[in-house]
Amino acid sequence: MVKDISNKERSKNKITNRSSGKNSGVESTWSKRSRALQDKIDALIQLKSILSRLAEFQQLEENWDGYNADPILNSTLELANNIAKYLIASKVKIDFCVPMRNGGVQFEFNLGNDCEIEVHPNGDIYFLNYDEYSNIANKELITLEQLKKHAW
Amino acid sequence: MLGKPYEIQKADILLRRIPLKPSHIFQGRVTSACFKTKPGEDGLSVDINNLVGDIHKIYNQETHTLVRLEAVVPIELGYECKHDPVEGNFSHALIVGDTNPIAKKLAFACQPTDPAILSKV
Repeated sequence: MVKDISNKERSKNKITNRSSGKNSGVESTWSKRSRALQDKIDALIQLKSILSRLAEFQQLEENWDGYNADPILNSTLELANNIAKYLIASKVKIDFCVPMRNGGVQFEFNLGNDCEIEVHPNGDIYFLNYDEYSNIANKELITLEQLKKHAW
Repeated sequence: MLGKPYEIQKADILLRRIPLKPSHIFQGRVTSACFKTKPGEDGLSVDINNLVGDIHKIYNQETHTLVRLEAVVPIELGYECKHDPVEGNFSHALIVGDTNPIAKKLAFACQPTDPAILSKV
C-alpha cells in the first residue's frame, strides 16, 4: 500500500513538474525547440518587413529629400536585400533601414554600441562602428564575402 | 543682388527638412543619413531660422518634417556654418565640408520643430 501511494505521488510530481516548467530533460528540449522556432518566426517577420521597406525605395525619384538626393538603383537594392538576409540570418536585429542621399542604403543596428552598414551605389559596403559619444570609432570598407563570414 | 550676407552665430538655429516618405525617424530619433553630404557637395544645406520668416513655407508638411539644430553644435565640432543665399531662398546656408564624420552627432542634437510628428512616424 505504501509502495502504491509513493508511485502515485511520483507520477503526480512528474506531471506537475512538466506543467510548471521545472527542469527535466524532456521539458528543456521542448523549451529549446519552441524558442528556436519562435526565433525563426521573428527573423522571417523581420526579413519580410525589411524587404518590403527596401522595395519602397525603388519608387524614390530624383530629389526625393528636397536636397537633390539621388534615386536608388536596382543594383543597390539587390545588394541591400542580400545584406539584410545575411544580417538577419546571423541574428542581427536591424533597427532601421533608410535610403541615403547619394543613392545608397543604410542599415542601423546595435551590437552593444551603434553600428551602421552603408551600401553605396558603386557597390562599396562600409561598416561603421560608433562609440558612446556618437563618434565613428571605426569605418571599414568590407566585401560581401567578409560580411557573410563576420562573427556578429 | 541677394542682400547682405548674414554672419551665423553659435546661438543661431539652423533648420533642415527631414523626409517622411519613407520615414527617416526611428523611435523618436532622426537617422544620421539625413545629415550625410553626397560626394561633390560643398556642404550640408540648412536654413537660418532668423531669416526664414514663416517656417511652414520652407517645407511641405505632407512629405517632410522640419528639425532645428543649434549652430553651436557643428561650430564646436570644427565646422564652418556659412550663409549661402540662393535664388528664391535667402535663408539658405551650408554646414561647410563633408559632414559624414559628424552626421550621427548632428542627428542626435537636432530637435523636431513639431514634436507631435514623433508620435505619427
